[in-house]
Amino acid sequence: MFGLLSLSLVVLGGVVVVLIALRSRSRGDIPAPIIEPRFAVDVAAQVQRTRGRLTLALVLFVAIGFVATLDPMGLQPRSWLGLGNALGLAVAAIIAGLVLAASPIVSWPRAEGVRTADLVPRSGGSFGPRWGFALPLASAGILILFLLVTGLTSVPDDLGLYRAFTVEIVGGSSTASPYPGWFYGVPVIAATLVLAGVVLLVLNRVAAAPRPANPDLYPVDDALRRSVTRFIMLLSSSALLAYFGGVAAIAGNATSNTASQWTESPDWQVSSEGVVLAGDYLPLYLQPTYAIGIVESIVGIALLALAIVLLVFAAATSTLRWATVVAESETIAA
Amino acid sequence: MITVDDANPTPPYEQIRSQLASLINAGSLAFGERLPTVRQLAADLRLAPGTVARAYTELEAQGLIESKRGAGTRVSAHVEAAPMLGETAAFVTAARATGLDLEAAIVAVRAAWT
Repeated sequence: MFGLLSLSLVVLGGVVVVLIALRSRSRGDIPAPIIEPRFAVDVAAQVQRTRGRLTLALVLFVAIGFVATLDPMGLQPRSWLGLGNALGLAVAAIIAGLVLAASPIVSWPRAEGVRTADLVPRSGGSFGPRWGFALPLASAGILILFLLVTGLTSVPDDLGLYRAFTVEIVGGSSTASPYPGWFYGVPVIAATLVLAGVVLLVLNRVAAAPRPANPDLYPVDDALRRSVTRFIMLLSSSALLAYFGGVAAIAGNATSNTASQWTESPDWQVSSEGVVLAGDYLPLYLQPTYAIGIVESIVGIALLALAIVLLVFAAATSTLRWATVVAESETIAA
Repeated sequence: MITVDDANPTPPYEQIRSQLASLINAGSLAFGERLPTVRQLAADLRLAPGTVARAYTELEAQGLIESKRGAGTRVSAHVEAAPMLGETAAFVTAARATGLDLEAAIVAVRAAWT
């Protein structure tokens, strides 16, 4: 069950990365809009503003995520038992999202005289592919399911907190901690739900922002909205996969530790010199618990790698690469 | 696409109402098609939401649109002239080719009608 859940998330994450890479290569996701030179100043100002907001959100995410998760200055009290580290990336992504949503994400100059509006209803899902929303949502669902399973299989530790894992062995039991039981699981689930709400808020802000008064600017407006949508989805997915990766790795470590036993017999090894003593105690691995633990650890590391890839994509999106093409074409036209 | 012109003496809500009514009557907005929310249209046209809401209320009173909680606002009118839209377009093209303006074309239709 553990391995299957976490493995399915790796597959989902991999699908997201491949789809984004393919679409980026084809340059078909955010094509460079063609604009008239008379709009160059307005467009440049808008692009600069959006780029600044995305960069600020990205820097905040990386800085807060790094400090809260790794705690290099040792600011988190020991009594937190690593809860701050578990929640760091989710909190960082929530703050980055709130910064994005704090003011109008796309804001064109106020126009007097004739104003135009198209009659196509806009919603949070209007500026991205359907899979771009469905896959992160599915990932969040799998993460919550995973944490429910680890919660149900957790046991209280010496402090009475559900952060340990135990297996029955001959003549007793073997227990390991930390393990993502209810102590970590409930706050992480709550943070994931808040993160989903913040992402929804940003998407709604993107959709609700007024269109430019002149319809000739609609292609640039569309490209900006698609960029912000793509950025927030990549950033939140990166955070989600990263903290899921950490949770899976810790669960894997605890699971495999409980399944590793040392017998009283010495360990022998066959070599060119014959049978030699390799250790005082022969290791014994309880299966399939040990294998499940190893799979979880590997999957956790794979999720962390995927999260880094998505963060790189988010950073690339924040540069608004298509806007450079627009600026070049404006220079040529001028 | 609709526009609001500050220089137009017609009140903004009436500008919105008349343009939407024309689009519905011409079949450009089909039966069941969703319209933008009051908030979205007001934001795009830089108007108070109440102005757009008033236009929507009048269109609803005319039976052209229908608002339902949760389902948004949709075109509710079946366009009776829909089967004739092709022929009408051909007539308009011919009228323009002979130099007629809209008023003159309507006079021609009225004369043929009687």
